[in-house]
Amino acid sequence: MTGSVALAITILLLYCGAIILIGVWAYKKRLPGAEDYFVASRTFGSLVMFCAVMYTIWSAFTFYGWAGDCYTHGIGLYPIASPGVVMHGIVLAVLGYRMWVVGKKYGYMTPGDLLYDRYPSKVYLVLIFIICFVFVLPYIGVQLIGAGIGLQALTQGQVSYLFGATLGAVVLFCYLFVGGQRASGWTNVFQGITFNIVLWALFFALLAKFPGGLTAMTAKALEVRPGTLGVPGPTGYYNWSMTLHQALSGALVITWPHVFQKTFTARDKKVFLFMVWAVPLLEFLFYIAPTLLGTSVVPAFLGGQLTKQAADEAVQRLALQYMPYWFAALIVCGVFGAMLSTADGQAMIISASFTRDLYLRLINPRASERLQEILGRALVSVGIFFSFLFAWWRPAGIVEMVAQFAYPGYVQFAPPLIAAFFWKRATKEGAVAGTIAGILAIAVMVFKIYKPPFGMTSLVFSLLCNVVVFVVVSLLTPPPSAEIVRKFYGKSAVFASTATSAVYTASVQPEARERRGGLPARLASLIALLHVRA
Amino acid sequence: MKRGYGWGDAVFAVVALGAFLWGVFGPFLWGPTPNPVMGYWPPGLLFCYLPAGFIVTAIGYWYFHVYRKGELGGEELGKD
Repeated sequence: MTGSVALAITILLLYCGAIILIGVWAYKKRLPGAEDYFVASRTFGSLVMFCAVMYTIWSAFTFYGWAGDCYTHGIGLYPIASPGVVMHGIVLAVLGYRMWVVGKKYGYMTPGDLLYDRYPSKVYLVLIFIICFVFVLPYIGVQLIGAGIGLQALTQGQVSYLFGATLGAVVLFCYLFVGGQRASGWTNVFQGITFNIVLWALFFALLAKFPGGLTAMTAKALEVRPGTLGVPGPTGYYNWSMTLHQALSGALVITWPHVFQKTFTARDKKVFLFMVWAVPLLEFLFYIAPTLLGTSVVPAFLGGQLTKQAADEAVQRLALQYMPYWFAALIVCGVFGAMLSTADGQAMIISASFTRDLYLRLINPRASERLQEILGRALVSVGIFFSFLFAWWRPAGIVEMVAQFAYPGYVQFAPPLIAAFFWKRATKEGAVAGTIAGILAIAVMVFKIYKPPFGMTSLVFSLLCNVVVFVVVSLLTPPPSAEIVRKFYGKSAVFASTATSAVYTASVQPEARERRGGLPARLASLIALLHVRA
Repeated sequence: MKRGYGWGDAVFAVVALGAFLWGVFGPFLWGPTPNPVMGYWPPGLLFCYLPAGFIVTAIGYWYFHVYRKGELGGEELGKD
């Protein structure tokens, strides 16, 4: 091992040590019980909540994959940030605050806690767990893969891929096992600051090194790789449908299970008022750096003929070629920060969802807070271990597969979640049927059984299927109870809901059914209900 | 306390949705080639993505902090 590699490893180990120390500090601040381990006793102020949410979203992909994708397919990836995630500030205020209010009042800690209370169906609870588990676990593996690739590229193969992935898994385990959600939140502050500073410093440093600055750099990029600065990009990938796909997955980021859970960690209302402007501002400003790195800097420095894999490694290559070695080592620290800040939220949600949604609701409803906390810690360990095995296995094309599968999977929460607070008539049968329809729609597209019209992507198509089935089935099934309506819409909504129930009951009562027949009776009730709503 | 809807709610909804749609579809109105007048900034970024971000930030701040005076809706859900 050369001296420079030893220096890089030392810097990285110091960085990881600092993260573990924050985890230990979080452990010392702990309170007994599951609520503290899973949602940090709902104590996150504006800064921690902001970092916890934002840096959970920004992963190892943001560091390497973003610039690589912009190089390969052009600037059309940017809409995931703006107008995509910038909408998250508004979504948090409108939807997230309501989730937090009922979460605090009824003790919710997971997506399953909230959605099961609104749609009390055990089938739906299992579907929620499947989304939280199947669509999230491989994603942690992808983060560890990012750590392994980053360290291997930095040391030019002198340190193995497996060492990087193992180091990532060990650090993740150390601080998350002891500190839970509080450690996740506070380490995200540290990781996020490192991540931001390193990426912007690289961008400005490379800009300064190119004669003529941004203008000359862009002109050069246009010459060697035309098309990266517009849509649909050099490969035609970012057509209207794919752009909408990216923007919607950003705007609905609250439905990602690990972001969903963070909503319950806020201390008070002021946090949400802060997020309204802070989230969009940081989101669209921050992404200028990785986007211009991909569209202008990489083509200008490295030419226009890089393969997809070479483009994904271009940030690290630029740092190695044009920056001092210690700075390249800081880039890997940034990658570790980005990777860990996402993986910790994902490991937390797998653990919490298994403990709360599966074990507490279906197996042992009388489980004590202490038992839940112990189980939570154990499951964090198991989740990280399986993710590590996944990273070790490292199946080919997994990053693309996860991106194609995971985001559309997460947004299946969106229709029931929005309706939980804004559509009293939404029913558990509708939620189950809509979610199944959405998951099936993803499956038929991923396995290439069906190609939807108008070039719709899996996210747009599955969301459309989910919404249509959810609405139709909800209107054809009995409305939710007055107790549910009171919980999620306030006392004033109960009277209107009771009137709706009366109309529904009258339209499907035996004599009415006899007069109109089976299915026509249900359709008549649908029309009657629409009339009442109007 | 639950409140009714007014002109500000309509302005907020139209502007936020408009900014979202402008950010998604606006860049298709421009070609990929920037020019020196724009300082060689990508036109989609300059005219659509960044304005969409600014507008969403500004309208969100105005609506929740100024127009609704800190009321986010759903406050009544936490009360018995």
